[in-house]
Amino acid sequence: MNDSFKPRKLLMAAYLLPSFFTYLFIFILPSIMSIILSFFKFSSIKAFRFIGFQNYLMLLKDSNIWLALKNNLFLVFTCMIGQIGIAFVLSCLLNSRLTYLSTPLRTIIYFPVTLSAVVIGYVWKFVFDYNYGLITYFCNFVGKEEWIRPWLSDGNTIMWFICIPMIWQYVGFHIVIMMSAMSSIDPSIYEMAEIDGATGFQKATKITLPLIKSTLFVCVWLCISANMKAFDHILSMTNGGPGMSSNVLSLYAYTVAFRNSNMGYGSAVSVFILAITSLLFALSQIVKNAIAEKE
Amino acid sequence: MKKMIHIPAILLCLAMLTGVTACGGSGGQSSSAAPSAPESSAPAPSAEDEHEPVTISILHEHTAEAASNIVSSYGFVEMIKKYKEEHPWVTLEEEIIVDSGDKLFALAASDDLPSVFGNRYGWLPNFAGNGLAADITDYVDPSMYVDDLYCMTYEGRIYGLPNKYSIFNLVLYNEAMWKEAGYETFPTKIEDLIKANEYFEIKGIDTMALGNSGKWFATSLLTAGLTYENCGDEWVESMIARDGTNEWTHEGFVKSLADLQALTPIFNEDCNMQDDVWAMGWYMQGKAASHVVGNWGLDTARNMSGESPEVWANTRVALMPTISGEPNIMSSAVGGNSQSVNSKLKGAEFTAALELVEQICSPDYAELLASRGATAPVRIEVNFDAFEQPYKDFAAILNSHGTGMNITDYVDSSVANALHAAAQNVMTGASTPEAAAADVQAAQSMLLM
Repeated sequence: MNDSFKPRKLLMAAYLLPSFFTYLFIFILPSIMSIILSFFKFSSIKAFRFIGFQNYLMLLKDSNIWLALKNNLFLVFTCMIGQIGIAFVLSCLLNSRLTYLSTPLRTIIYFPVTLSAVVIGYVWKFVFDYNYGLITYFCNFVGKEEWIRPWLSDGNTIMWFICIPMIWQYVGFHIVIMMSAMSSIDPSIYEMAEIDGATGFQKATKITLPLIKSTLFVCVWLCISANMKAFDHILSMTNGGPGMSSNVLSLYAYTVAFRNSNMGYGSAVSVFILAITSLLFALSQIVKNAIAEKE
Repeated sequence: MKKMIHIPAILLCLAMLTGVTACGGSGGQSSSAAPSAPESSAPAPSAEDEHEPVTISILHEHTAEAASNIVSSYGFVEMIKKYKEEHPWVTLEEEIIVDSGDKLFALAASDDLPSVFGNRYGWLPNFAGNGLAADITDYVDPSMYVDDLYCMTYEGRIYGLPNKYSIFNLVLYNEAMWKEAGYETFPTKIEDLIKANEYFEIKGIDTMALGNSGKWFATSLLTAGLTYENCGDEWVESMIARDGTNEWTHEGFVKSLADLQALTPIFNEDCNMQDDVWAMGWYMQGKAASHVVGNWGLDTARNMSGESPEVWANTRVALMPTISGEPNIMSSAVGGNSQSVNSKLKGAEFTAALELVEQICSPDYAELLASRGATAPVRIEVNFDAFEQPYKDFAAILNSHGTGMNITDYVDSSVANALHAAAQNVMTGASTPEAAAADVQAAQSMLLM
């Protein structure tokens, strides 16, 4: 091969170095340090004491961890159904030739993705306000005052109200991914299906869904990782309350590490988050492989 | 031609690398000599050091906006101005960061603390225990301060001076509304408060506004006082001292949580969703007959009085009622914003920094705050006769009631957070008082692991 077409390795390395160093110092090294710190009692600024697996034993006995994990899993599964489910339906609608103004609609739906999660949290806190919120106003408007509750004060239903803004914000994100996958489907397949009398629902479930399956799994993985590290929405809406009922693992790790000055235990919680997320990824991969084998 | 493209590209890469690896500014770097041994006292200042030009630094939270709205911030900023006027040979570098706790810990971990920095009782094991705060025991007089400097004492030595004195369990109440309900004065018994709720409920008014979204309000404003009454001084002091003789599952503390749960119907239904400022606004709009708040609430109410002059004109101040009807103690905390000196400083720098701390936490500061109807931790005669009735009521309470420690300000932050969660859980019915107390004890036990 002509040497002039071969990229020089030194040049390639030079271009890759900034990104590599960024990734190394911002992601890789802190993750490694976090794992190492989780084996230390590091509750004051300077004093480190190696304590082996004590932080992890404490974690297993900590009821707040299991409550936070339950909340995280609730978020993952509810948002998976909400975000990906609604995104799929909307993507099919927006991709249909019968839908007018699909491009501006797609922009409008995507707009919340660009907003800060803290802003979303505060805005929805106003929506759920007991006295002056939109929901309260609507209930009064339709004459159903008995439906009005302090929505964010009820520990039994709080997680549903946390899911709503999270689903609302990220539907657009998944739509963009799905629509780019749908754009690679040959339109003649849909035309042939229409000739055969397929309905919209049949086209979506029998044609679109199977053909964008791998993209859907990407969406599932993104959903899992995003909801396992959910933090900003909960902090701004409820601060993990009332009590600990809307607490999630990342918020608990932050509270333990920075508010309680127990960095070692906070690191252990972070490692726990990593472990659970990896487990969920592995489970989804097993499901994906099982579906592929079935076919 | 290829080289002309490659050279700018390589330069761009280098520029990106430099940007990625560049560190932030040190801001407020304390100038220091060799680090001193942790247990040794700082050297005594000499006369010739006093006017040696020095540069010291301070990290604090009191922005210009805070100073225009909050009396204690105003006092803090004025004391710094006064210090600068009286110490022309000192160059003072100020770094102002709201909620600077995380920054402070990061600076401490990197041995880069400013000359003067904020401290509090719960941080003493970190700053005093690790030899980062200077031992100033030999330079200060504890009797000048309302708590004899308990808030800044660690293992018998003093590591700072307090700058805040907060009373937590005050009630601002609308005298006209309560007279209509048949109460000439604010109830002194909790059961009367609960009974009054029946009247106000019919009127569609909340008996008491509470903003507990920050979680700590219910604990500091309510549970702390109940705990003193149900458990006694000795129990509270032993829990703060963490001497192991008592536990949070004590029947008195469980009863305190049960009493808090029984009180919950008197509050606005969304008390756990709203913050303290909202709750004050709710009271000032006449939607609540009273509002439980700390002493800072008087200034907040006065600031809102322009929109609600009638409510302000009818506002009086009392202490939160007790179960027995006996006078309540003032649930107080000293030193939430204490100031400490960097232990690395010596000679003229140490003198300058110590004098800055003394100025910020001085009788001058207390007098300035008293002139604005606020409290300070320095012992002075408080006379609010020149102020409106709520301030006079507050002064009468200050001068006539005993003081107890607001327990959550003196326990480890992990236990304090567990207390806040326990209070919210019993208020929402998510937990029983027994289970909530057990959760707090579990948090305490984790500290010992």
